[in-house]
Amino acid sequence: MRKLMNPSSVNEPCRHMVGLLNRTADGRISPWFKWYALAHAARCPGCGQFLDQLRVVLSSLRTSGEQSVPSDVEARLLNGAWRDEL
Amino acid sequence: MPLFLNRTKPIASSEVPADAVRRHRDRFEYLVLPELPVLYRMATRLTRSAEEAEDVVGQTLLNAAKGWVSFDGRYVRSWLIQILRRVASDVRGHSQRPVSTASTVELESDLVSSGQDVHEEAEMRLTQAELVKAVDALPESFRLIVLLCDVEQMSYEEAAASLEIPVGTVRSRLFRARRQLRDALADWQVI
Repeated sequence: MRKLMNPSSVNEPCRHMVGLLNRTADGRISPWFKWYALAHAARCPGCGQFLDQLRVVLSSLRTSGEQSVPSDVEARLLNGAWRDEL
Repeated sequence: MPLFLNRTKPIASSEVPADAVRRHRDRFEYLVLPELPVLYRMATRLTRSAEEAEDVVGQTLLNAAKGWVSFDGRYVRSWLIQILRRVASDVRGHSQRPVSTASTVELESDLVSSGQDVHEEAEMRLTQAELVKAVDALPESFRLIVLLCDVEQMSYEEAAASLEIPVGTVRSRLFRARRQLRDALADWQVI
């Protein structure tokens, strides 16, 4: 595994791991690949940091999607002109 | 050839049984109306105006109702977002208003947040404001993918259907967009 790690920078992930780390962070990955990515990230500082930062970004983005429609707007939309078309 | 394909005269509304009309409407309401929050969030992000967002969603629902018979039954959210993107693009074209990032944070506060503690909410909003700025600074093709995949948590396939691009393009744009976000937020010492 050591040969597959990026020795040049602790701030950058290994090129070949970027896709796997992204999919690990967003959860759209099979268990085996997830295990491989996590095992790699645990030993590789660049990938470990990349995965941690990605998780923070994704968690913040998910929180930003928890807002709902103001009730007055929702009421107007639910009774809009679309009802006449059905 | 089936007989109904030979029909030249359109079906009069009086010929359609009332319960068929009701089922048609019920199905639309059941599938489309739960998508209202997603559509509204997307519209506010695309137009940057609460008023225009409401118009865009209203027109999207109208166009969806008109085209409901042509909906193929797959990925209703993607189909609605396709319609919404076209409507938003028309609205932006008509208003000829350049999209500014200044109003975005104010707009975020117009959206109703989901019952948090005041301090927690203020803290979150500060970080959210920086996050919104970072997302808005992305090129539009990246921004849309982040909104669909990371904010709305749609699958790559649904996002691809919404934007009418291949799944591989969604993945590569998403990964590049996240990298830009990560770099931008690291500069602001948020992460």
